[in-house]
Amino acid sequence: MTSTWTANRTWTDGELVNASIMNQYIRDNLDWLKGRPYISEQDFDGTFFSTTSSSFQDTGADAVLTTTGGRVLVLAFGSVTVGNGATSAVLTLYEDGVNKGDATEGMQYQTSATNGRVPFCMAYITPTAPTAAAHTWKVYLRSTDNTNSAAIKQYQMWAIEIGA
Amino acid sequence: MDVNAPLKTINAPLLKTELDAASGGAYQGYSVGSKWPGIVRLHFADGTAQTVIDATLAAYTAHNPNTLTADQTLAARRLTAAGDLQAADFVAVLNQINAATSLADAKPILKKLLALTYRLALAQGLTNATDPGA
Repeated sequence: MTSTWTANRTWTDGELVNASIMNQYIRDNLDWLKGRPYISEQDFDGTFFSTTSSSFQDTGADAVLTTTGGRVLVLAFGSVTVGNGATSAVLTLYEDGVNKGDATEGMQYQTSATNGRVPFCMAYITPTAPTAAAHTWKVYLRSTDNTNSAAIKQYQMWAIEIGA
Repeated sequence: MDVNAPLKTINAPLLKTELDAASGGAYQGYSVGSKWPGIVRLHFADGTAQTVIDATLAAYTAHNPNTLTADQTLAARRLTAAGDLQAADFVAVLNQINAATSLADAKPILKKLLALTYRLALAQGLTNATDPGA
């Protein structure tokens, strides 16, 4: 059941609680908590994305979520590899086209042996609640040397509104 | 800025050299991904002129993945030399040495030893010199 969250009611002495109030403040809010906005996607076949660019590139991993005014928890995990052991894979999250990590350092550096695989995991809670609207979070990746590749072999990402 | 091109088999180090040259340094790498099937995204510096992009795309189209870079050619020569050394019959050379009784007999043996020495040096990365052809 799709419900909208209503700010909790402050009860008063002697208040008559009827079905309408119970449905709005108890049933609907519990329904919202159970069915809060959530989205996920994944690709586990081992050939997801590769780039040789040293600028952050859109990997195609994204979570589009219509929020209702609460903060959002975004998580992306999977494995990365590099085409040369001296190269690093740098990952970050973009929110509505804006890099939420450092412009250079992103959110996470990973290195591996040439063509080896190492895990990555980015968990991000929006510092403030995004406006109630559709928002897009994307995983971006770059290589550190503009020559050798950095690649996401497999991943899952999801976003969920967590309330206040 | 990104420009899409059809995905093809590439020799990555060679492609970078070719596209760097064609773009005058405006080319900034490529990306491929499952969300863009059959497409390679070529990345360029913002504001790159269309003529430069066209020249780079032409170089991409002309790219032959079977052509080796100088480094790849040297690596292949070293690999071949290592294989030759592994297959070398050292006992046969020893038998030739034992059987030799004249300078004329010794010359082909010395050439074989020179060839082995050259391959050893090449395989070990101690020389990039052209094969003396011994």
